[in-house]
Amino acid sequence: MLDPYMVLGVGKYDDDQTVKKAYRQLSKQYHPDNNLNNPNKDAAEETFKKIQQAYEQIMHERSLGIGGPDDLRRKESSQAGSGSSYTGSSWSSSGNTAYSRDKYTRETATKDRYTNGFWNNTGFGNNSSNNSSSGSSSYSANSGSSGYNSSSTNFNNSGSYNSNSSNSNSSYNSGNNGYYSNNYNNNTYNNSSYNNNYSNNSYSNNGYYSGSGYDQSNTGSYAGYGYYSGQNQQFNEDADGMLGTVANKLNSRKFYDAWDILNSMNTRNDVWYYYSAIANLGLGNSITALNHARTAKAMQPGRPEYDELINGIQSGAIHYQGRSDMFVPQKANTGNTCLKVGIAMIFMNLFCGGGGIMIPLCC
Amino acid sequence: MFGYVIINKPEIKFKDFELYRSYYCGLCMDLKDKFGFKGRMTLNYDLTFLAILLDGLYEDNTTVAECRCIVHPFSKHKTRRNEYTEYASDMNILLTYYQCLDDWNDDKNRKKRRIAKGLKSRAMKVMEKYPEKSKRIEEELKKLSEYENAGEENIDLTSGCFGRIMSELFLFKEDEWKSYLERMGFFLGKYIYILDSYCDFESDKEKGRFNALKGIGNDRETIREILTLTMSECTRNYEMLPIVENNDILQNILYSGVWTGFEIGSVPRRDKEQI
Repeated sequence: MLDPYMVLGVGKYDDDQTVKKAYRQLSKQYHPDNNLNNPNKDAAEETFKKIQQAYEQIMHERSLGIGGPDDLRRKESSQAGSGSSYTGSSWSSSGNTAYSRDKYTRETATKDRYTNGFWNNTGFGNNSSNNSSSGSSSYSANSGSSGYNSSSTNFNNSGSYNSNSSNSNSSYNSGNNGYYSNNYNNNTYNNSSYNNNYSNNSYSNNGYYSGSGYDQSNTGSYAGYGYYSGQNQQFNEDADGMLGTVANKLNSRKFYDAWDILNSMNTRNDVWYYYSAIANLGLGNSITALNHARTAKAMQPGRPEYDELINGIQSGAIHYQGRSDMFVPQKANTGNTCLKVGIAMIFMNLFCGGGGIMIPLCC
Repeated sequence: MFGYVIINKPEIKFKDFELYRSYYCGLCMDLKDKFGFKGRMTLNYDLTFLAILLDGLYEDNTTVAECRCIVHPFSKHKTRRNEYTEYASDMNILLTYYQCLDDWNDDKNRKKRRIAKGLKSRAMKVMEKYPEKSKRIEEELKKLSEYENAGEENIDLTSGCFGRIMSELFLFKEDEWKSYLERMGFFLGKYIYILDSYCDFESDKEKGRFNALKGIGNDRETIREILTLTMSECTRNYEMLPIVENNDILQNILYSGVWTGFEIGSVPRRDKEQI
């Protein structure tokens, strides 16, 4: 497999802008739209696909904290033993809030193109499972796990988990720091320590690349969810047999279908909420997802999957907060009489410098 | 619902501010040329953002000119006009029209009905040009109305409708960036809707009107968490786009400017009432 950085001609730790500039330049050269009259346009298109794939791979890895100047800083600082060089804020969630927890209305949302896994890239920051056999604790000791709330869980050969790290796309495994690290690479878990209904679940990662650079369909890119594969599951006979079907639906990214089934169920235990969180994430309902993930945890604390899901959902927010904190917020003028006027005042300030009055005409 | 996607002016470089303004003025000119005075009245910052985003992504031919107008009669301003400001102007009309109709239907707001009537023929032109997009936007607005009438408390459902509307706007064309733009639009739309609900929470409560945050309340930290979660999804998709030229402006808006409304909305009401 080609090194994506070589394809674009940039360095692994170059900043995003450099990577993007390189992509743009190459794209201009090889994009099909710019090669209509080129006798070698097929070759150009092939090259373009490689460029596109390389770019997307790099940017996706960077969203997991792999590559880029931040990654380099972390590596250097951990080598120097100087601790974290990341100065982002440590925003933490406010815990269980006054969300309307049980108001999960049974909705017949339309099965339009948005609902069945269209939002497959939303929210779910899978926490990286460190496939190395370091046997360390649940917060990975891999270098530079600083700054971000690195919620990496080690599924090593210890305790109740057996991890088979096969097909470990190693570039993902080091991404303990990034948000949305996407590391359910065919790990199989024996949940023998849990007296529950879900043994031998395997998380299957559909993999980031579906093989075609253009394929932005539901089953293609960003299939970064871990969910029960539906294989080898044993269900308590008392429970609704439907959870198995839900797991299958989630596994094949049919989030709407999963949601539909979940809504029709009466038994709502912790697993119901866990699945519901994942289904909602797939549908872009990240708030409900977080809410349900927390509920699952509250109902059955101590299950690492629930913590991972919660942390995963929040890790992106933490990263965002870090960047947002680099700006000084534009504050309100407390002399304002109402919100809309407040915004209008800012509008006026925005443009008044040119000598004129800007009135927001249609709020 | 408009006016939340703005820049954080003190934090922006002067040259970027000039650039931002040139898009704004360019959009204004497009609205004026295509839709006249009434069209121009619909100008807003959110669609300016869209024009900057799309231009940053596609970087096509831009005409730079100057304008002098009623609003700033004392100095000429640069304008940037291109395919994307034109597209933004179309979407501007469409969205304003629908919003006004909606406000009329919901609150019997006469002023909005007048505006909607005035925009109708222009909006029709845009609907002819983008029939499917218009239809989907209408459907989402209708769904949103239904949720509101039913007192829906699940914020994901209500804000999701507006999210999908923004998605439609962001989907300029079907290409390799389609999914990122759509998702970005979706979450930005959700953000706007939730923020708007937050800002209107108290007045809606007083007037007995629907507010999407009824089931959650308007605790500042709770809402901040929700909004942060939403924006993080939006920016995650934004960062995938290979935008170089307008990146500083866009990042200013996405990471900071959008929170201005939140800061304002968080000022306690009694403070707001002091003149």
